[in-house]
Amino acid sequence: MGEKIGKPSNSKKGSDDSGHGIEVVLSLVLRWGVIASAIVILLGVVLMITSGESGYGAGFDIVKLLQYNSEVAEMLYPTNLQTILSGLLSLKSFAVIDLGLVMLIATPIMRVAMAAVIFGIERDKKYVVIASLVLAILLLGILTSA
Amino acid sequence: MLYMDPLLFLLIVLLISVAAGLLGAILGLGGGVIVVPALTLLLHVDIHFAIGASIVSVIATSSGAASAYVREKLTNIRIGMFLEIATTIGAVTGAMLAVLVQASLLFLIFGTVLILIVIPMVKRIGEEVPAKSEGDMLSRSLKLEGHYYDTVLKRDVEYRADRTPLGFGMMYFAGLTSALLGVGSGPFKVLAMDLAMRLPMKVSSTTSNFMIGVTAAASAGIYFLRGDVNPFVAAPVALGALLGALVGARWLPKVKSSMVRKIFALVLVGVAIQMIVRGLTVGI
Repeated sequence: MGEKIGKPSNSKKGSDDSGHGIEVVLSLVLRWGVIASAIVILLGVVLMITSGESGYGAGFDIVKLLQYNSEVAEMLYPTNLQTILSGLLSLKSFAVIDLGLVMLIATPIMRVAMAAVIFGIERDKKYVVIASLVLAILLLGILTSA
Repeated sequence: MLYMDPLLFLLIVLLISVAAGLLGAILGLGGGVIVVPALTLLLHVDIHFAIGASIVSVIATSSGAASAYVREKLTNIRIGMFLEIATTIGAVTGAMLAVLVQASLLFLIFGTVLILIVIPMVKRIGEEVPAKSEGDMLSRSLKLEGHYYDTVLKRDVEYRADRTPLGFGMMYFAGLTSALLGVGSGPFKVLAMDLAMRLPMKVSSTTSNFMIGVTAAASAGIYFLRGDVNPFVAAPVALGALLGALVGARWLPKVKSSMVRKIFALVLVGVAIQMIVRGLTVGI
């Protein structure tokens, strides 16, 4: 810790050298995460429109689809991974859309995990700690909400 | 809820979200400022669904635009990752506090804070890029610095973060508001980097853009499990925001920093008014 304090010229060179790899990899993680989730969401939307069916209680009735009631929400669309998976098995359009949405939500988390790995490869100890800390807090937030 | 053909509804939401993604990608915001009022006021969608969709819009805008900004080296990955500690802690504590505190009061407080923050922002409205700062102990030790090629100025712009602890503290509040209110994550992040840490506007907006997806992901699970993410609303929002963000990311390098700042200040006033109105009207 702190061995480079007061030597900004050194550290500037350091950030330049380590800059290329991480930018390319994180950019790719984000791009493919976004493309893959967009394709799945789009498939779900196409399935919904062509079948005219959400696959859940509300059918394709817009009034029912937009009625907010957290008590019965799980009857109108999946609200957790289990119901998404079971909905996928019977090819329900809302389950396909939700799979895409979960993939979209997972994309920034994957990006943080990948950053930790690359900082590790570059032996940038401070930033391995920083990225791992962010990942740990993220996972803690997700686990406590589940 | 007015009756509307489901296909027309999907199309309108898609177009609104393209605009949200476009603006969000340029300003470093998630687009909630457009998505939430458009869905609730124009289409009479329940506020819970609107906020759930806005979380999705944030993640789509962030990941869509960041893939371009990171490659172009506008985003500062180190600054973003370091500050994500503060925003994710803010988001997680916010989600835990959400059941305890009254949202209406928070909306009033944060709305008023935003209005007050616009003033120092307006004072520097014409500034293109700030001079490189000496930095502080933290920013030197963690190498919170960098440079980018400004295509408008046609030169390399060097910068270093200043007053890092203040920026870190502001980032905690950015995470907190995002989890508690479902909005405000982007504006507070850009302000923390622009006003507190004195980073160039384009670095602030693209690094904010890089970070907001992570902040939103920290609280997205809660909204999902609560049933606030309605696929019928969230699907066109995700696709539209992605499309808008991809286009916006191509525009930003060509826009003058002072112009980005002007649009940002204007949108900030809009966000502040929305927050105050939400605080004054009962129920969220």
